[in-house]
Amino acid sequence: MAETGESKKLTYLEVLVDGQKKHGCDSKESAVESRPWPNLPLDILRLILERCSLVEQIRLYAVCKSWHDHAPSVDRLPWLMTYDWSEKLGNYLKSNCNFSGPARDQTCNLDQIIYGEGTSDFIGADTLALKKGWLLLKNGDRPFLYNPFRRQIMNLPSLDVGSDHQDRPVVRSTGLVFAVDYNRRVKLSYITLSMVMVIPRDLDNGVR
Amino acid sequence: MSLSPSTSKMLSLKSSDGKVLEVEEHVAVLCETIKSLVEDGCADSPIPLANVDGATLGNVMEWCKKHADQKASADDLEDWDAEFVERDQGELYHLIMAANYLNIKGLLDLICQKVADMIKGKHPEKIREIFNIENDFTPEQQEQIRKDNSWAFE
Repeated sequence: MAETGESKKLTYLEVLVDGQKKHGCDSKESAVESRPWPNLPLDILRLILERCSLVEQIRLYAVCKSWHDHAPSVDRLPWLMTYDWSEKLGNYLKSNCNFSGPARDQTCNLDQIIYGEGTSDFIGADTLALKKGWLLLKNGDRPFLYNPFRRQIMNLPSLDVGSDHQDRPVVRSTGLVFAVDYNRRVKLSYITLSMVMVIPRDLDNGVR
Repeated sequence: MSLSPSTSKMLSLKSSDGKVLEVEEHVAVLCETIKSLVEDGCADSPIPLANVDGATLGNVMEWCKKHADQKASADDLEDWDAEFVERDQGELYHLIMAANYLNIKGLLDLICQKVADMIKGKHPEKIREIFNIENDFTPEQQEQIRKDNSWAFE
C-alpha cells in the first residue's frame, strides 16, 4: 500500500484483502451497536419479503418490533380456500387446505394436523359460513367453529334442527344468524364467538 | 463514447473511510449512481461515496468487474455469484445497503435472494440468531403473534 497525501490509494483487490480482515473482527460488534437489520429500509425489506413464501413472511414479521410494524394490516381482499379433510388418525386429523389470493398471485398450502376434541366431526361436514377467519361447519346436527390460522376448534351446542330445512345462515358483523323454519315455527339461532343464543319464535301466521 | 475495456478510462472512487479506489469506468458504471454522474459530466475525481466503507466498496467493485466482463458466460456468473454471497450477515448487510445506495439492481437482487434463502424454513428464534437481532417483544406480544398465526409457526 502506498500513502499518497491523506488518502490511501489501493487497487480494489488490496482493499478486499484489507476488508476481509476488518470485517472478520468487528462486523458482529457493530451489528449489535447500531441494530442494522431491524432498521433495514422498508423498500429493501420488501425486496426480501417478496422472495419469501407467505409462511416465511409471517415468521419475519415476528422477528422484531420494527419488522412487525411493517406487517400489512388486515388484508381486506378475499382469499379462496379449498380444503380436504380426509385422513383420521386417532385424535388427529390430516388436513390439506389451500389458500389462493388471486389478487396477489399467491398460493399457500397448509398441510397440517388438527388435533383435539371435535376432529371427528370434520369429515363430511358442510361449511355454512365464514367470518373473520372463522369457518362455521356443521356435521349432522353438530355445528362447530374452526379457525385454520389459529388451528382452533370451538364446539357449539347442538342446534337441534333438521338440516333439510335449514337455510344458509346470514352473516352479520356481530355474528351469525340462522333462521330455521320447520313446521311453520321459526327458530332463530344467533352465534357469536363468545356466545350462542337460540331464540324460538312462534310465527305461525304464514311466515315463510 | 464506447465503454469497451480496452479504451475505458479510470475513475477514482473515495469511500466513507477515506480510501480511494481506482476502477475502470466500464466497471464502475454498473452502479447507476456513478453512471449518471459520468453521463452528466460530474464525475470529479475522486467521486466521494459517503455511505460506503472501503471494504464494502472493494467487494462491490469486485462484483461489478466480474459482471462487466463480457467473456463470462451466464453459467459462470451464476457459480461465481453463489460463491460471492457466501459471507457473514454483517458483510451482507453492508453489501445490501451499498447496492441500494449505488443503485446496482443485479447485486441488490442477488443479496436479497441470499437473505431470503437464509430465512427459508427458519423460525423467528433462528432468524434472530442468524442476523444477530434482539428479541424486543414482550412475552405477551410474542404469545399473541403466535396465537394469531399458529399455523405459520409449526
